[in-house]
Amino acid sequence: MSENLLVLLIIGFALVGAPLFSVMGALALVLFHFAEIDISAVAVEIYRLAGSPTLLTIPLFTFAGTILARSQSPSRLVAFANAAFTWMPGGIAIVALVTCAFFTAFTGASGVTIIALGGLLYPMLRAVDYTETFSLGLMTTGGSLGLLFAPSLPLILYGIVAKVDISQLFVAGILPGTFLILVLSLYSSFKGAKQIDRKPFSLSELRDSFIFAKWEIFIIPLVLFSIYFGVVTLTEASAITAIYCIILSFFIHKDLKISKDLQSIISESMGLVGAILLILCCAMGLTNYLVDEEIPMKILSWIKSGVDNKYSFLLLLNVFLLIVGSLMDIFSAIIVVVPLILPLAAQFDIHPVHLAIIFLTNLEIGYITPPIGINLFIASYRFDKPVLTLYRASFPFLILLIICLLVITYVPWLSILWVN
Amino acid sequence: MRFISRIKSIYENCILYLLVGAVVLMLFLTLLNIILRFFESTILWVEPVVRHLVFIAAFLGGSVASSKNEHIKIDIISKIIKKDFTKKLYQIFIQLFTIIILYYLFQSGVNFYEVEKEYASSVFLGFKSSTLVALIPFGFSLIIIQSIFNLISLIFLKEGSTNE
Repeated sequence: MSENLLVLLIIGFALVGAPLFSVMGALALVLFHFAEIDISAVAVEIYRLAGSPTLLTIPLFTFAGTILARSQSPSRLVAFANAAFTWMPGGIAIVALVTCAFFTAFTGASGVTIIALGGLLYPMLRAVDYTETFSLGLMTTGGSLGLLFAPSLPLILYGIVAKVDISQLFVAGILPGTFLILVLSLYSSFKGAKQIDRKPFSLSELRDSFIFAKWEIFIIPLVLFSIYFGVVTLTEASAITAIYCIILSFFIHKDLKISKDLQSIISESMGLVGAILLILCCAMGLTNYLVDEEIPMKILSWIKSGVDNKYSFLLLLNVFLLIVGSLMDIFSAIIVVVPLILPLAAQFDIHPVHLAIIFLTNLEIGYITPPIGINLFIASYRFDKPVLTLYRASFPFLILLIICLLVITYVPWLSILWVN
Repeated sequence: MRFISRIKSIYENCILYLLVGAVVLMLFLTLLNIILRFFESTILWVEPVVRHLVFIAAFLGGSVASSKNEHIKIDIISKIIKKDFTKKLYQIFIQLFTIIILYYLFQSGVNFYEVEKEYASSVFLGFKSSTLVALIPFGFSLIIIQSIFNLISLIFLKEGSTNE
């Protein structure tokens, strides 16, 4: 069987639902075989993963996120955000956006946010007369909103794959991530101005809810400041966060029990980690082959024949990444696409950290981009609504996020202002 | 079939216990080094040991993902197929493909191990580089065993009770 036919057959297997790690592995094995290189080259590339110094952050931050999602932390955070924002027009919607962003930063937009917070926030939105369409759109969008905030898994994975300093990515994501929340909050306030959802500000309620949620509220600032000011390294921060979440949920709040919950939390979080790292392992062989064969350079020369400046390239990149984001899962998209676009972006003199933020913002939007943005399906399942309703509900949010994307793309200082 | 289910369940529990052990150990060792740093001391072998624990956890987690059928995939066809029998055949077909590829990945690891064995050097705590490389075929063999269990369950599972 010829090389091209085999490659097409394997791609066919990917389209009919074979696990992506097996597809990446198969492609690497076949391509190395036809290049007359021993298949041990795939294992050599896989073993390179064990040399990655920041690898530990993936399991530990995921573990911490799963603990938080399983505990009563969502309720405590919602109560605090409620007390802090509901006096504003559109306050409840802002509560939903802020809490979703917080949770996505920890759960890595793996659908957990919509599942864990949907049941809590959607009835709250509906109770204050937000329309069904608006509430559904907001929850679907919120499911991937905190992706640019530390310690989100896609940020870490991008850093590992692109060999960009992850602590720089953590800092770089703050302004663009806040910008996205701000724009959606303004839109929600505008919509909410017509609703009767405001209640007077109560300092005692804010104080009480803060006392309940104080341990959770400080997690992200603690992670960021401790890394930024060099108190701990990134891997140490991940271990400290995991220990902190264990102490918080198992011993302080006692939401979870070690004998009952620890094993299932490890099983759930490490299942996700295993699925991601296996793709990363197998894709390393494939990526190595593609780089050896100078595929990115061939794509570059093809692109350069039609695109001659940085701004047109960025526009083309955005269109391409939006399509990728709507068709591919975020983790495999990072692993497969990043090595291909890195050399192209370097040729057009795009800052690697800026590229990371553009890339991840695109994939964040891809989550709600029809036809198969994954959040649309998760929300459809969670709220028991047809996917077409979700397409319609998310559309205004999609347009707003695309406008934000253009701002993030063409105003680089938003991403690199605080990066050394 | 009951016997196979029992073996499968024991196997999955063993993997889970190993996984819990790996996570607890990586947390403990990392924390130990953070504490030692305050006393201006460090244990040099901790960092490579932890990295290899993550590497092992990746394979163990991969096995867990296989047992729960939670590997990342483009899953459109299985949602379209309505008939149980067709769905079952389709799942068997995908599972077979996965096992074949896993076997070749395992073989790739064995080839690498054999080459490494010839030039093995001590890396840390007296571990030879070839021993660490052996984690690759070992890890893939764990996922192969889980996938074979899944395949057997699929074949002998009654129609109407297919997962996904």
